[in-house]
Amino acid sequence: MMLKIKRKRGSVKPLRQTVERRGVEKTKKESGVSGRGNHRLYRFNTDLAFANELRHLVLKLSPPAFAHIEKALKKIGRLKLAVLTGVFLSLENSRVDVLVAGDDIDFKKFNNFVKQLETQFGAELRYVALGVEEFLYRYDMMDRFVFDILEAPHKKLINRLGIK
Amino acid sequence: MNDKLLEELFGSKIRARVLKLFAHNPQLALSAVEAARRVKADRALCRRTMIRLARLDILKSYDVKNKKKKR
Repeated sequence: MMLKIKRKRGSVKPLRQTVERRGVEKTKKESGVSGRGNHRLYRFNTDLAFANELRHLVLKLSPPAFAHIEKALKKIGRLKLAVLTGVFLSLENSRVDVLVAGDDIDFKKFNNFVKQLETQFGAELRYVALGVEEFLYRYDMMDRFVFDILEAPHKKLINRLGIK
Repeated sequence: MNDKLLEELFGSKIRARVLKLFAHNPQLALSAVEAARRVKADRALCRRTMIRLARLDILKSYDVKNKKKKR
């Protein structure tokens, strides 16, 4: 059966053009390139006399709201362990920021949660989500990765596994 | 998030967020569009805020010629 499309003669081409134009505009915007092909980039001015003071002021004035984070985490799944390090404690060289171990983790919710935190922190978070079984396995065999996290300064929001 | 103080002190939500973004990542250079995406704010508003901050010398701005993609 033929599909009939009602359209005035000559109206197909302009439509295609608009579609194409939209496509081009979108990619340009996404890449952040202006029409002339130049970027203007911005960076924190570290040459400023009070640069460090300003930075620390901003960071100190916006401490992470642990209670709020804990609440959000509990909605994500049956979490047994939630560890925060890295940016949450202003550590410079840590491997991850969030370690979560639990079952039935709703990854859609978890992703939204991480995204929300990222906008609040203005930094990209590095996170790990493990199943309880896998976490315990790694913990028991003293997995390097897990131990590095637990040996560095960190904050446990949820700890139902009795981990020191 | 206890951001009220920061927002009130710097005069606007967007300014506080942009400052925080760059305070957390002092080595990071971003275009206005990318910064807007990260702070989840309107692009034009974000760009204006960043231009103002750059005028105050709090942000540094510099132009980069569009590099051809290397294969």
